[in-house]
Amino acid sequence: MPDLNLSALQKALSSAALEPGGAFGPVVRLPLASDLPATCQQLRSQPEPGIDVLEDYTALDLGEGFELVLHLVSSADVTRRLTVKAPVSRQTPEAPSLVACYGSAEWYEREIFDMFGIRFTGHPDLRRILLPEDWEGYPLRKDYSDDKLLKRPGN
Amino acid sequence: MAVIEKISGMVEKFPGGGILLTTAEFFVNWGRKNSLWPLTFGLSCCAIEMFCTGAPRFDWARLGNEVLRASPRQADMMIVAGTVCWKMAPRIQRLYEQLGEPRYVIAMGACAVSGGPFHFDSYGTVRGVDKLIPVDVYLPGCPPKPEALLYAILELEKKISQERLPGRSPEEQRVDA
Repeated sequence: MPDLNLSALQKALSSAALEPGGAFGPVVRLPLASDLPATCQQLRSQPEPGIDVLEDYTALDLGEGFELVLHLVSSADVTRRLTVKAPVSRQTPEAPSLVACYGSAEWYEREIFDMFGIRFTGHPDLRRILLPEDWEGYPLRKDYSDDKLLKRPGN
Repeated sequence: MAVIEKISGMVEKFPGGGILLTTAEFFVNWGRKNSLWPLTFGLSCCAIEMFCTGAPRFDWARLGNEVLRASPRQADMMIVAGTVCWKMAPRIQRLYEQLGEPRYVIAMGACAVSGGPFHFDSYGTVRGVDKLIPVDVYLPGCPPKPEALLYAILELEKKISQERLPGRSPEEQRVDA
């Protein structure tokens, strides 16, 4: 794996659990989604990892709650990668927006809102991006269903 | 005279003269089926095969399936090539209604026929474009090869050549099997 300085990173991200390895670099697990903006600012300003590109931003429905997944990479060295994960509760699906830190987060966050219904506080233009504007529900949630959807028989 | 040889059986040559005898029905259908103008319209991966069929290697212009038109008002045939999603559905209906009459539709590929791989458990897919607009020829495949699309166009031409002119009674309009 790339020459990410893990110990320096761990020191900077004191509240986070850092797991080495993984297909997209080390995994940083944040205890709360509200830690995301501060963590991203730290990662950006770090001279050593210098992780300044948000390559992908998505979410998972884990049943009891959601998990935000960020894939970050350094523009100076694309082998320097990092995955950041943060939980979001099902009852209040809210997370702070990362648009101020990564401009590319704007459409990613709209897509996550569209598919999972997670609201990003501080987002400049949080509307549906792919589905029609009058769509009801969030189709990538595991408990989603509508009149038009046909369940596979036997499942 | 080459054209007359191709459509022999439907056209009678007057002996010794430059006069042809045929029926209006045959002549109109012959004209229509040999100058279909498809709409430039693709939805997903099947459209790649469709463009390939129009390119010189397969060259559907040989069948009179002439230039792709960018406006539905200049086209009379629509190849629904790809997955139809609910967001696209009103646009497809509008494009179909804007096509010049008589208009024809080929549903190309498994998605346009029935929803295909997205038939079950999909929130966004229309299970077949025939839920929205009438379809003349169904072409299965994922995606169908260019040869298959050429066959579908030939089947559509066969269908057009059996059409009856309007103004006849329903019994007469029924196409003999």
